[in-house]
Amino acid sequence: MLELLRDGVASVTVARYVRRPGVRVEAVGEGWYAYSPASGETLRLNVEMAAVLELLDVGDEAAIAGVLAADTGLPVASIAASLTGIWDQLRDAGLIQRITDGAVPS
Amino acid sequence: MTDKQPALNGEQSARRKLVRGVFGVPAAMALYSGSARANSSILTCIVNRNNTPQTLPVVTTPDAIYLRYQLWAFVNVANGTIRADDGYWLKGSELDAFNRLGKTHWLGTNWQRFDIATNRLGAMQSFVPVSSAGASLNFELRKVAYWVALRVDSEGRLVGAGASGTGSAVNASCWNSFAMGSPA
Repeated sequence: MLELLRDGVASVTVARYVRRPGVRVEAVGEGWYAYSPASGETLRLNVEMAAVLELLDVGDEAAIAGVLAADTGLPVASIAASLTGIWDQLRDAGLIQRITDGAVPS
Repeated sequence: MTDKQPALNGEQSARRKLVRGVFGVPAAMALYSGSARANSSILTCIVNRNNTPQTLPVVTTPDAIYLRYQLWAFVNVANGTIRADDGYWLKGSELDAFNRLGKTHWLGTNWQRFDIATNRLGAMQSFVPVSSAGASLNFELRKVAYWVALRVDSEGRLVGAGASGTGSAVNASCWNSFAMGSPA
């Protein structure tokens, strides 16, 4: 996302997330379930969402999309499009929190 | 052999379950809202309590079971005695943990004096209390062995302490629910 101009150069702030402390993700049968102590909620995840939560350590949104694209053989752009909007949902559910790596040149 | 990394924390890997050529929109569905149930329980208990409001006294032991706050006071670091002339205090920022559903407590980031003899709040101020002993290093602002009951209105907002303010002191399971029910 374009957030600021520094010395006349457009920069992009990279959104990166980590799991909130105490979040648990468990596979039960064919499904995945996540519990957040922050929200007190238990959520059922589809396999795609569970995979995203597994991949938070690999980097920012683009890095996660890249790994998932490699896993599935699909274009990165289509994976990235699928991930749009999930971050707010995960954050509102108390499963993740945002960290910011700082601005990088676009 | 696969190049997929193992799941974090030794969990079963969801990545390994992904089907090549397919990637649906990631989805999460709330199954059960523990906070909603806790909130419901809290509201029932505090509404009931506010129907028959109660006031509880200041206590000097830490084992009383009600929603309460440990006061601050200036303590002589040499002998541990409390400098009562400088008063007893509540620190607003410490009450933030009890804010629920956007209902903020009455004290904000201020400090407020508390009279342990009358069980009532005194003057509020925005700055950290200072000892009337001046710049002496003999006195420090510390938590002391006086606990005062916090008052809660029927919507779950902290509205006072001791015998001051509206609302009611809450006890037993009611105060326990507060600690659990506060959303981030």
